[in-house]
Amino acid sequence: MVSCHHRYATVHGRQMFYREAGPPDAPAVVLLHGFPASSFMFRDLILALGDRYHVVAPDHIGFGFSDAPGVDEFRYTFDALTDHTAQLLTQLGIDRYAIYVHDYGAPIGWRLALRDPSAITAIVTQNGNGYDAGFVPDFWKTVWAYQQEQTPETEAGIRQALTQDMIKWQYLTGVPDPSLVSPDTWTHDYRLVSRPGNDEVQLALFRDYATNAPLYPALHDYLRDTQVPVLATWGRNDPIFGPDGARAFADDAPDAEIHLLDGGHFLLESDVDEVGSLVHDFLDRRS
Amino acid sequence: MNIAYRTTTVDGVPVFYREAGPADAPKLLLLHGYPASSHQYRNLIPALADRFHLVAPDYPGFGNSGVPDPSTFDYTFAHLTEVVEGLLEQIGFTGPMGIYQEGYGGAIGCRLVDRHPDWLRWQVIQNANAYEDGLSDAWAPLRAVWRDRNPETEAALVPYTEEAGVKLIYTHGHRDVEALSPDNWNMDSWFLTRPNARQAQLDLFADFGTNVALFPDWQRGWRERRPPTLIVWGRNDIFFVPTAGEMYLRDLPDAELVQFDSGHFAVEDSLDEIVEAIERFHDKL
Repeated sequence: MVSCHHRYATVHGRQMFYREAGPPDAPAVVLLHGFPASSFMFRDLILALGDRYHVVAPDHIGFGFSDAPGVDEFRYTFDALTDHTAQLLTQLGIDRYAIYVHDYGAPIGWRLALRDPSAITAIVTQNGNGYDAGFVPDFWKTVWAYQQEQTPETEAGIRQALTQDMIKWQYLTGVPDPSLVSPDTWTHDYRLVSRPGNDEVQLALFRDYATNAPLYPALHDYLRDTQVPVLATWGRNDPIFGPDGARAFADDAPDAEIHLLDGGHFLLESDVDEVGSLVHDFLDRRS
Repeated sequence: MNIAYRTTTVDGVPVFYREAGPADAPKLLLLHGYPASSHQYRNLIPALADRFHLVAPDYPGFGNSGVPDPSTFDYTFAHLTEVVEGLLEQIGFTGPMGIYQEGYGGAIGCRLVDRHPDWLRWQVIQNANAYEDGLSDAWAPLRAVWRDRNPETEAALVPYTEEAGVKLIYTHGHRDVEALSPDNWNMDSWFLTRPNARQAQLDLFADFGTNVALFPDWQRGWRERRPPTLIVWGRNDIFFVPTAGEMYLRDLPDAELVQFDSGHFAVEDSLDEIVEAIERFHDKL
């Protein structure tokens, strides 16, 4: 069985936690997690890919076991999170890699690709959005309202996302057999977002999420120009990023392999075997 | 490999358990230790689920199970055993089985077998102790509570329930700390901050003396019944002296002993070796 290492690196003066597995000289795959998760969401996928790939899964600043400075010490933007991820990869000597993006991992992955297109060997998006068509308005209206105007009402709406009930909802909605989803997931996430001051961190990122959709046209140009291989493995019942978000990749990446699976936002919790073999097969054909 | 995460109610307490493997496969019950929960078996379960029907409960006060108020729920090993028994009877996981016991799981397992001798087909003992001379100096503050439970002796136990102490139980004696996931102590520490959770654990620390009193009975039972036993043992356990694994051979001379350069949670860094030992042992039964 593959062993997973649990490591820390100092990046721009902050401790970043990352899980690492697989032969260091194998092709690299970087797993970028979503909200409100951490590399914990990849704990089983890492083992599935580590037999043939050098797998690195960082926790973004503010998440998981990485440092989570308060908003008065650190400006939480997707640009800043990307700076830290990019620097971590530089320090680890990883300059060519495939990305697996989920949720917040997508805008970080897109920024890495746009900054250095030649670094990215392939893209796997699992409910990692890159098209307006992917937003499910029923969920996003609360975020959009808060981005537009920060009032006690809009903030109260968005703060619901930080409750244990809503975190659980993110994990369970659209999963045909909820008994397959480990309570470890929401326990882990809820503990970390309920640390003092982490609410403000998450609110700052909800505000900054508004910078992501404006990058989509550049992402689409990049997909067309580079013809980077794309695999979409998408929980089609995700109440946050709908299946149209997966289908849309075909607009700019005509060879994109798009799989809509019967699962939710955190598809890996119920379907890690299937996703793992799709990703393995996709990457194997390119290395 | 699918693992199901289920919760049922036993005597009014929500009891969580992980379950995997074919329903008609040989049963293997996984009993967890302190300060953990069935989370400690998260990787062992998928590794064994092709050949065993596995159930791993969280005891009340631990993991994802409920933490009833200690003023209405007795946190004793006898009571936790009754809850585990109630769960197993409710889900029909009874009859001859293997029992994997780690830490507190040893006491729960032995008490369960006392109540149902016919359930024990074979056992895996992993860093669960039943020999008084196997207890390390880390038990000194527990012994003090057994002698006299008062606010002062109880206060000395609180560090065992705090994050630094919890982490130390995992990391002590492990050759490569990076192999251990911080998820362990992160999860356990969080569970310990729930209302009533620390008091529940202090009650159990105090009650552990009742297990020590039963050690001679359990040893006699093994001498009489000779259950097939595999001992997988991390030698650098914070709670047990390095020779504690070998002590079982006094009463179970035919037991197979496999030792590792590892600690209390040997399954965290010696998973492959433990899986292989279990499969090999079970094949020979």
